[in-house]
Amino acid sequence: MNMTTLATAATAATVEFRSLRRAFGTTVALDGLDLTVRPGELLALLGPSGCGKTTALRMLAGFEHPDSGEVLVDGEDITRVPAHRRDAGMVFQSYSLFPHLSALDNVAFGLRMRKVGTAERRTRAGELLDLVGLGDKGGRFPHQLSGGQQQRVALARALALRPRVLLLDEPLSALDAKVRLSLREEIRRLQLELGITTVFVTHDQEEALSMADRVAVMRAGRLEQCAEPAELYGRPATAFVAEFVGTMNRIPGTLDGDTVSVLGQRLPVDGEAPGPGAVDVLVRPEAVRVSADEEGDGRVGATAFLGAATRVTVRLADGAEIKADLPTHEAGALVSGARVSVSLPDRPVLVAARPS
Amino acid sequence: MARLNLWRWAALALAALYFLVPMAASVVFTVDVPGQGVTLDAYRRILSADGFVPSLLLSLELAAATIVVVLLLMVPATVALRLGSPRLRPVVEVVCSLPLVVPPIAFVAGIATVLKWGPEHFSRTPLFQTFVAIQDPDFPVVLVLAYVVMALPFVYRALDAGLRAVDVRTLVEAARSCGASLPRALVGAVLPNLRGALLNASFLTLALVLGEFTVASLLGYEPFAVWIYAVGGSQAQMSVAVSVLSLFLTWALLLALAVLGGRSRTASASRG
Repeated sequence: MNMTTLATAATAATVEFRSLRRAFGTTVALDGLDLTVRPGELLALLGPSGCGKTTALRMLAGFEHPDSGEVLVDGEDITRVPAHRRDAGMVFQSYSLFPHLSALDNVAFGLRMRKVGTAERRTRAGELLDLVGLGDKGGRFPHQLSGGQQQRVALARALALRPRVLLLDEPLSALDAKVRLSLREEIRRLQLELGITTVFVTHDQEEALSMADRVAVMRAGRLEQCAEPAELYGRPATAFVAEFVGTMNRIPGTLDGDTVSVLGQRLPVDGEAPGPGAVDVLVRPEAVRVSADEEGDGRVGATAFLGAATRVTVRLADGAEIKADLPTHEAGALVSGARVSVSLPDRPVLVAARPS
Repeated sequence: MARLNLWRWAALALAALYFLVPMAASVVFTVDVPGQGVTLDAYRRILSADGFVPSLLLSLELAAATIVVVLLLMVPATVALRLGSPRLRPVVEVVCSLPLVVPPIAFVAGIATVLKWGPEHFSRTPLFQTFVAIQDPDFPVVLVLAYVVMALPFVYRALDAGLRAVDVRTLVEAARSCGASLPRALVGAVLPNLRGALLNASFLTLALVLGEFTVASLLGYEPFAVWIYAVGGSQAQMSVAVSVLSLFLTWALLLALAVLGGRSRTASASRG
């Protein structure tokens, strides 16, 4: 496999979204999105459906146009450039291969559009199929390929024109779990190998956290937080991010200045705090400590075996439910109905206004 | 399973009885002349009969023109409906189905009125020449126009079914992200996947035009179907022979279209 012919331009592109705004009728898809994708990184756009992540990607591809704002690639405004001159390869959710063309011809389609000679185009398409591990399937038609294979071909096709930006629009969501995992790793490997700037849209937080260099969490057309996966998980900037990424407990507490009293402890508040009074303290299940205690005010509700860890749901006297992930060997004693006490580590905690 | 098979055979036999017996009877009637035994005389007479070749050619020309016009009209329309304004789809569907509701006799009465009324009002304008031209007996454009309207319901349905099977929007976007402009995306990525639908639409239009009688007859032209009727009036045996011949001819044409479509598909697949 000849990597030099496949590698993209030596310098990867920077992508910038500048205060993008777009409304479809009365629904606002993008409400002033500002975001920069660094050269060569894989950035995941994560959010619930309808948060505008797909609209943002389609604007970068040129299939949607903003009402205001601009899209820049390497500092150059491409907002008015038509889709077919944008130099962006795209992989769609599913069924985007041309059904009348073989896998090889699908990959070569873009080269044909660029008037590359037949021999060269076949060679390059063959190399790209090798790259995604389907070198021997070039003659197959899309309907003869499995879903995972189809997406690999689509990936090869998107890379055929050596695009400056690779766009992935939920490419794994139509596949079954096993294929999804292996293709996820493969996409990441290829992306690192080629060093191509990539924007990946997904609603699956696990996918985003495991693949991306940085994850941009969106909500209602705006950027909530853009950070590396570890930071996003460990130090979510907003309550929305905290609850959307991973599992989060909301434990009732009372805020008083810079400290919050919760579960009988006083803990410092991390980040912005709402006004004083009744609040919810946000805690990850793995941070919650549970110990068997005849005097405790909690009762074990249910336990779920997750492998190395067991998730224990504890119901407090005041009705609040807390999920805690404990090492399985410790959780053995905590049968349903057992009395327990719950405590938090002595660290600053996130606080959110209590929803009424 | 065996019971099911039995029922299937029974249904098949019944259908065969219904369709094949009359056909077989027609064939026998044309070749078996009492007192002379089996003879192909009737068919021989057709080929030398007055008007056979011209009327058949006229019908084929009309069919070809109708297919071209109706596809040029409907393919862009249906694709545009998918891509741009799906909300207009019911409107177009209803409009395209109208010819099914309007009986051909009412349709042709309207056309005849307009054709008569036209020259009276436009005799001093260049439009008069248009009225003359579309009624040219060598190639009556007015029949093509009428057939296009009559073929709309079938063509719309065939194309709609074909488009339903492909995700037009995604195919176009995929092609565009591969560097194809919108027209090239449509021609290169969408049209080849409508081959079956285009073929179906052409089949139906061809069959419609070859068998159409009312409009052509009342407007005073003599394509194949009208000619058959005219001949049948004078010679019973020959008219049945012509019917049998036209039946086989239509089958042969449809078969040829199918083979042609099938071959170009494999040809395009093997092309690099």
